[in-house]
Amino acid sequence: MALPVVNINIDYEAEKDKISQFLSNFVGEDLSRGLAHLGLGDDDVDQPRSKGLKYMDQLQRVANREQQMLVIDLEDVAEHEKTVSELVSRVRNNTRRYVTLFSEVIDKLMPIPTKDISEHDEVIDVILHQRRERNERLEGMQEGFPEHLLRRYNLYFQPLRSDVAMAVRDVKGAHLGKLITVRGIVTRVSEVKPLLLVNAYTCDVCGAETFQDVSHKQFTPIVDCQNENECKKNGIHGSLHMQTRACRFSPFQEVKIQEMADQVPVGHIPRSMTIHINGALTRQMNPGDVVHLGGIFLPIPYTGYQAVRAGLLTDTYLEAHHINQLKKQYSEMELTPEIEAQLVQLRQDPALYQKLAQSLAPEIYGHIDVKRALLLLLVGGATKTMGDGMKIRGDINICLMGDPGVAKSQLLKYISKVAPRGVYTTGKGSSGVGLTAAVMRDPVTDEMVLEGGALVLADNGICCIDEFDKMEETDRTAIHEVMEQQTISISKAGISTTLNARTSILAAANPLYGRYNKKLSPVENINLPAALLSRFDLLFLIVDKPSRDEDERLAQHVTHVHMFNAPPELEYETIDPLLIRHYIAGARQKRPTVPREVSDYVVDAYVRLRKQSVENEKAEKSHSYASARTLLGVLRLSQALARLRYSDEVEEGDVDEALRLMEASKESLLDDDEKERDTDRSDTSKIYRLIKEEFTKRKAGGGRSRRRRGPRRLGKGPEGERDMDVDSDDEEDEEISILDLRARVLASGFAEHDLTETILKYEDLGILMRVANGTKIRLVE
Amino acid sequence: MVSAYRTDALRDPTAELKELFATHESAHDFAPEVTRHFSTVFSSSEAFAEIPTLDVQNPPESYSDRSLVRFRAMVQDTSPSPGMYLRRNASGTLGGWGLHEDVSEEEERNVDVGELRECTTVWAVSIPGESDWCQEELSGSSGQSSQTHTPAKSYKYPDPEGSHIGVQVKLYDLDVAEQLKSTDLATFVGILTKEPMDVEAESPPDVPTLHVLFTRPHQQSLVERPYPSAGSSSVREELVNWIASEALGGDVDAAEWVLLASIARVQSRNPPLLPPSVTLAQFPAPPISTQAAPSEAEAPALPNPALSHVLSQLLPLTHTLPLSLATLNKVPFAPESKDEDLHAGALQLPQGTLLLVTEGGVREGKLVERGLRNIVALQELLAAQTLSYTFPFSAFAFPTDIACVVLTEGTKSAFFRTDLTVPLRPAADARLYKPRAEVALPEATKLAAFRDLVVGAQQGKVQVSAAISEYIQQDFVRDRQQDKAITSEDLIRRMTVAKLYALSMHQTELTVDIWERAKAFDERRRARLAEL
Repeated sequence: MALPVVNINIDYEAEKDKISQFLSNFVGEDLSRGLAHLGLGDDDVDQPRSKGLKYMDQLQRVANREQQMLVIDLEDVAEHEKTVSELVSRVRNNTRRYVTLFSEVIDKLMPIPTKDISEHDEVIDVILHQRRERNERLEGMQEGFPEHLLRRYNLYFQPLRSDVAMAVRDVKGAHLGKLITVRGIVTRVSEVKPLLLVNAYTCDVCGAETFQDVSHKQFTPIVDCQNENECKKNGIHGSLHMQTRACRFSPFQEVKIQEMADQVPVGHIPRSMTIHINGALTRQMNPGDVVHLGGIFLPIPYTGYQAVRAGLLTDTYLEAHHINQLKKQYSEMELTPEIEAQLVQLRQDPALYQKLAQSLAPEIYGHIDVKRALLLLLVGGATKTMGDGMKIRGDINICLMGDPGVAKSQLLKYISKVAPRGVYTTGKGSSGVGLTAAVMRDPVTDEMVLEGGALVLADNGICCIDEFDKMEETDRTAIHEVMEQQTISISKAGISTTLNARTSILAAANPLYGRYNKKLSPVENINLPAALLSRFDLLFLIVDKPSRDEDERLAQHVTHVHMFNAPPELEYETIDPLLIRHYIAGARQKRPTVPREVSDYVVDAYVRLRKQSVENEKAEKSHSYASARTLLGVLRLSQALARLRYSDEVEEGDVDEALRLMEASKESLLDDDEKERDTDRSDTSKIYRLIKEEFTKRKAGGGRSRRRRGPRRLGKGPEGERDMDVDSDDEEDEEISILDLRARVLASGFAEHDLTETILKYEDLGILMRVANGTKIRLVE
Repeated sequence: MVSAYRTDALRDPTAELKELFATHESAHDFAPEVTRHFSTVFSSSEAFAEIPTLDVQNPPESYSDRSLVRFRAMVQDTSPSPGMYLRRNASGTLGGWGLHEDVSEEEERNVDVGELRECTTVWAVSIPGESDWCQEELSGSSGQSSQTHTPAKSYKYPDPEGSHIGVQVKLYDLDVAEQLKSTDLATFVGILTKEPMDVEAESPPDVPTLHVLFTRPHQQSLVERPYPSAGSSSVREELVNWIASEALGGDVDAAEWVLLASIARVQSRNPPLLPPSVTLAQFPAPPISTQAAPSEAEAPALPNPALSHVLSQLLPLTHTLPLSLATLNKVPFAPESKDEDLHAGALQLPQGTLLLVTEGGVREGKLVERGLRNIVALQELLAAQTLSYTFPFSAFAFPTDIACVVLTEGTKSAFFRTDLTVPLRPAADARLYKPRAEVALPEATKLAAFRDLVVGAQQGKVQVSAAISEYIQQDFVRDRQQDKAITSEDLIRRMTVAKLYALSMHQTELTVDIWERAKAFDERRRARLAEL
């Protein structure tokens, strides 16, 4: 079908000259050209058909029947023409016509084959070859064949790289006849069928071949021999027979693509588009592929009766010219200039870490440390591959544990949406198939196929598992492997293989009996095996505690929502999820290293943690313990923090923040009373620090000379529990009189009962000891 | 002048259209002109009522080709790709709206691309769950159908067995077409013809086709009622008593819960203020005829509860979904796209529908995969008011606005988690299942008042002032200090119930009095639950 020409005043002969210029002179940037350049200098550019001419080389291969596909890259045309507005834009606006123009030019430029015809070639080529030879011998008996019968290549245009991929619903009537790029998911692929291009006949009488060009869906076969010299002259009719072997066919495939989730406005149903694929582009797509398709948008005219009934003239389709398969990953997101500008601006924001964290699930109030941790999870540390092929995981795993209704699931769902390749699944709902991978029998082909579960699907992404505690034991075992080795081993139905699952795990679990039971220890409440727990870099406990302030705030929130049918204004500005995604994508490209001094710092911190954990264990207060995994965890978190700053080096500040987060995650496991003791701001711990200071001062000051006895006589012990006078024979540095301390503590603005409380508490913990009938205290080493 | 147009348009819409084209021949965009012209001609309600309706009583067969009809419908599928038509035929006459000229093959190949225009095709079906009284009000009293209509593509209707009409709707005004979404309600006015559906198929079947002249969307509700209405306060009490005595064995509290559930709509999606789903627990199972053990394949048709009939007297849109193993395992609940054709699901219902789910028909047996998927789909609808449509390689969640009442025999629903559970306390001799004819209707004016109350409340809004909000906050903090078991969820639920309570009383503002009454009302329900 010939589309009408829109720009009538274009001189197509001039266009052809331009095209001819381009094809015969354009120098590609391939290797052979570079070599030729080195050897011969510039002068070979002027020679036609020299090596290095991108398109002329290809034409030679086409002539030799070694190549079928001829792709004209519009970038090349633009480069040659030094503009995209002239020839390029005309090609894009009237593509069908220019396919013809280019083909006509190519027919003229087509070099003589340098390779002889052989038995591997198509029958039609052999016939044409022989006919040509015979014609040459007979000298001008026949004019030769029309050019288009001789074409043995498919001409395709490759769109400009700056071409924006459209959604199916954005393709309008105005795009008819133009070269456009469409994005979608392939839903259906037809079988490849032969499409008749040239029909060949032989004549019974004279033996001459007749060729018929077929350009429409229907055609009328020729019955009369067209040989001017014999049959036509003699008026012989009905002597033609079709020669199937000599016909020229092109592979043809019909494909349906559908819009993707992100292209469909809310509440609308995704649209589909028909794609026609010819020649070498067939068999390149499978159902489920996400593709960018460049092609010409064309109408299909209905014919005859159908058209009368339809009233409408036509349906539309896209004639594919270029196929680009996509993979959905961070690295392949499209960056627009606006987003880039916003990113630069964002990077300069000093409160970036805080802002990004707050912008995660902004509708969920509070939980700022949890959100910070989730942000780091999105960013991740750098995965390292050692020389021997061993991998050190960079992905950060986090477990959220808590009462029902504290928005755990919402956090998980948000994260799975922000992360490309984020997969959300629940431990209860997913069988072994759901989470890991399964071997299934394909219902159509009856073959065994390997089907990836959530973890495999989330390769290079994040797998969010809700209701982690309700998961099957076997699945949890599979998760052990994923969390440390980042692979999944499958041995089912005779297939044994290892699949990659380089994924971060974000798990949410309920405490053992549904709600957090204060009467039980955290370990009992958590109810997950230690081997699994240690694989989580961070574990947060979120408990729903009644407190007047919180309750009021919550009630305010709820009533506000009902008053205005809108959520309250946030106290801070949030960053758009798309921008967050881009920022994280950028951050993930950094591979920060740990410099010498920082590594020393980390080692110190680790040793301290180990010691603390041993102490805790002795005191039977430990809910988690520091292992080598903890060290790796600290490193991963620090790396993620450095990545967030777009920095190539980890700084001490990063390590501090990583340690603080770890500390915060541990603190969330302690119950209220314990927490008070640990929090630096509580009075007891401040007093304890004063006591410790006093001890160190004494040691430094050389003991005895610093000891003042004066205050001891000022009064009795505040609690009245010691009415006896004290012997003066305690001369050791390790003991301090309570009276001394009291003066010091009171001077610092605390009340007397604070001191008593502190001493009692720390004695319970086995850190202090009262000696000499409770008049002095000693530190337990 | 306008009335002359009107008679012309009614008699021969095609001629009128052509005439309009003659005066607007130079217009670049003719389609909006058509919308403007015809909607002005039929702007008054009596003019609109003159257009004959296309419905089950008046199926497409009863109209001659190219007659003007109006079709009140639910948009079922907007996925067909848009088609192209020649704005102007070779001879200069109007193209589109089913008008086409016979041209030779030669001419057809030399189409002027500049004259090609787009048109959107959607599939629309009669509104599922539309009550008789609502139909009567909007279509006028209709005669009995003379012929039985076999609907085309019945898989595109939520209840494929039910009598309905499915029509291919072609929209030429693209601005209007862009707005249409799945399950939207609209009245399409246009020229009725018959055309092949899928032009790509080998031998496409002819389906009724409506070439739209103009569209009237029904955004909020099919019928409009004022809010707040000036009706007396006793109407609410009488309504509750009527529901209780006719459908719920005299249980007034349960009847009040049903009333609250039926007026609930989605207030906002972010933050989610969704209609609460209600389970009526301990609702006796339907009486089963004792002969022949029911086999799974051939389950006997179970009677619908009287509540179903009562609700259809009150609400414009209700749908009863009787659950049984057979329906769960066989009937798809969520729409699914197969071969680029969207098959309807039982839950593809318009906004503002009250869905009555009865679990009485469920027997022991096995749920297959479809059954499980159906349960998940309905649960998602209850919890999040979204319905996930299945497409090849993907699923899309579509927003819904469907209030839900579940009837179950047990102490809670066997399949679903609902926001509220109300144990039913029927009188001993209650007849909870009876045929439609045996439901005693109140006198016509009373019934109209009931409908005014319910429909008005569905569209109403209740304000929560700062003062009452402060009161509620204090109330919550006090309660929580007394009883730690009270959580934020209790507050959210009370808040929702109180607002619905105010709506049911046609109040524009939540007051302390209503808050306390609603709270007490909810406490009564909890007390009943605790007794179980």
